[in-house]
Amino acid sequence: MNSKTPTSAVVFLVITLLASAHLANRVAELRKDQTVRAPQSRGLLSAGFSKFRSQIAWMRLIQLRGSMANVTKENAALLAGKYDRLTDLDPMFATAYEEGALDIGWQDPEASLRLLDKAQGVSQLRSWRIPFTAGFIAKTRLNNASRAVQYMEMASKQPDCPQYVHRFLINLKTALLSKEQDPVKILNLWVDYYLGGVGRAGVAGAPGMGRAGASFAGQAGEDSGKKLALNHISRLSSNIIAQDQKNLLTERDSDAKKRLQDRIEEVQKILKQVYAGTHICQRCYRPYNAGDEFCVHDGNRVEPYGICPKDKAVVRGAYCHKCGTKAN
Amino acid sequence: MNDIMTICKNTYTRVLRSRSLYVLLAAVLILVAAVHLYTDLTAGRQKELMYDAGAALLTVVGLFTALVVTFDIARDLRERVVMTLLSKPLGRGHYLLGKFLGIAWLVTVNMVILTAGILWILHWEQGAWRMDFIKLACAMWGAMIMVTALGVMFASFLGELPAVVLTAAVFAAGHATESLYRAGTLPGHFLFSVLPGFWLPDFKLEFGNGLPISWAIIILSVLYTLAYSGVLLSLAGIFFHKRDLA
Repeated sequence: MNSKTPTSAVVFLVITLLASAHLANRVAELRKDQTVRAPQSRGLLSAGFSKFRSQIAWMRLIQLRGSMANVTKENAALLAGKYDRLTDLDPMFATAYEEGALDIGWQDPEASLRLLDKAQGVSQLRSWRIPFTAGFIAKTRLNNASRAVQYMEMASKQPDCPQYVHRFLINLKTALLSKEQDPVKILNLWVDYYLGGVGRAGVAGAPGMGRAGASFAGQAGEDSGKKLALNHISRLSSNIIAQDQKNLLTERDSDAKKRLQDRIEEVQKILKQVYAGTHICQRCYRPYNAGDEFCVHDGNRVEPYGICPKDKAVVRGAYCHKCGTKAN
Repeated sequence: MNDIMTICKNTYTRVLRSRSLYVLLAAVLILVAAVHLYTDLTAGRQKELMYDAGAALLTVVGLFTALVVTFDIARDLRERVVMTLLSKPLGRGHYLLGKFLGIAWLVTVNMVILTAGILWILHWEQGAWRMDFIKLACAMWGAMIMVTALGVMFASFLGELPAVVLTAAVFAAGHATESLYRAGTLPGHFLFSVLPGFWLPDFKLEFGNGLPISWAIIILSVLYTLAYSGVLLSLAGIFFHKRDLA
């Protein structure tokens, strides 16, 4: 060491270097979980201005997009590159992923799905819109239902995803299952949706499931999604039971007959669970109102309920509004 | 200690006399507030842009203020003020420390003024206090203290222009040392540990996207910047000690 070198400075240098090395590793370790990194980030040298640069890039992209009359095959590639670079700068730019994917999705669906896949690789970015958009593009532009189902399943797992995402997923699964010729599987999808995610064990007889079904039945008018699900359940059940009853008459094989009988019973059990405490038409399996003598959906005669035994008025509450008789 | 504080105070008051500083602060606040008009240009993202612009401009002002130290030391050397000072019973290390503390104090004052101004503008635009901006500013303050120490180190053995260019270059390159850490190799890890990691106190991307970053990580990153500033000042002391001032 040079005699002119101050010892105190060297000692201080060693101490601070050790301290800073320790702290650097500690902070880097903590930042691993708390901070944003794109999975395919190109490690741009942005000197800490990448977020601001992403905003500038966004404004420039809006201007560029505005200058294009149409998105063609040629400029779709240009736009895809720009959206890719923009999301390298800010991997959490959800709007850029969504708008970009929809922008180029028509001309270059694979590039738009690559952009959305990149978004899904960012662990901190939890938006149902991104996998939903991917599922939508996979179905409508690529006509790839199984790929769309994968995306929609990701979207449906997000806590803030709206009900129509679940319904979209069921419709996609229905399209896939329709090839298997198993309507009970499709029915189960709607039952699961209606019961709010209760599994098939619940349908097999868990006591809580019936309550869930009954409570939804009461809110059916308020929740169009649940109402839609009930319509599907009734329609599918009605079709399955009618078809199986018809097949039972012609079927000679005892095993096949047993299978048909079991399936009818299974569907009836599902209906009992879903419509627990509700009166349903025995032909179309849809609920009917107090006092109805015929089903308003198919004209079938139904067992009336909620009628005052004294004056035959429809009881609307705990007591008859005409004679004050206590309702049963 | 008194000598250090005297140099610190003189450095601070001398730079504070410059009117361009006030113009710079006012211009930054006006620029941030003007983002309010960018509704159409950003397709409705002007709130996000305002936050990001505020953070970016706070960095720019902090950086410019920190770079003053390189000019100040170079001027002292050019005008031979250093000779006069060092002819008194004052160590070279004390002189550098005084300069560093003077500019670090100026950086602190500037950043406090700007942070308060930007916070108020963000509140005016968004209708809520963005308290996470304080966390961001704290971490950024640490980074700027590190830049000041870096400026002192380069100014201790280089002329003003190379010192400014190198300080800015190291600040930019210091944001890329993350790749060394992520490489997972032993040499990479060693380099990451000894090189200045300006990405460690940089949370603009996280706060700009509304991610919750704990105070613990902010405090640790500020401690890192202070410790690394100590490394740079020690090096500055060694280089300046060996420098021929005649």
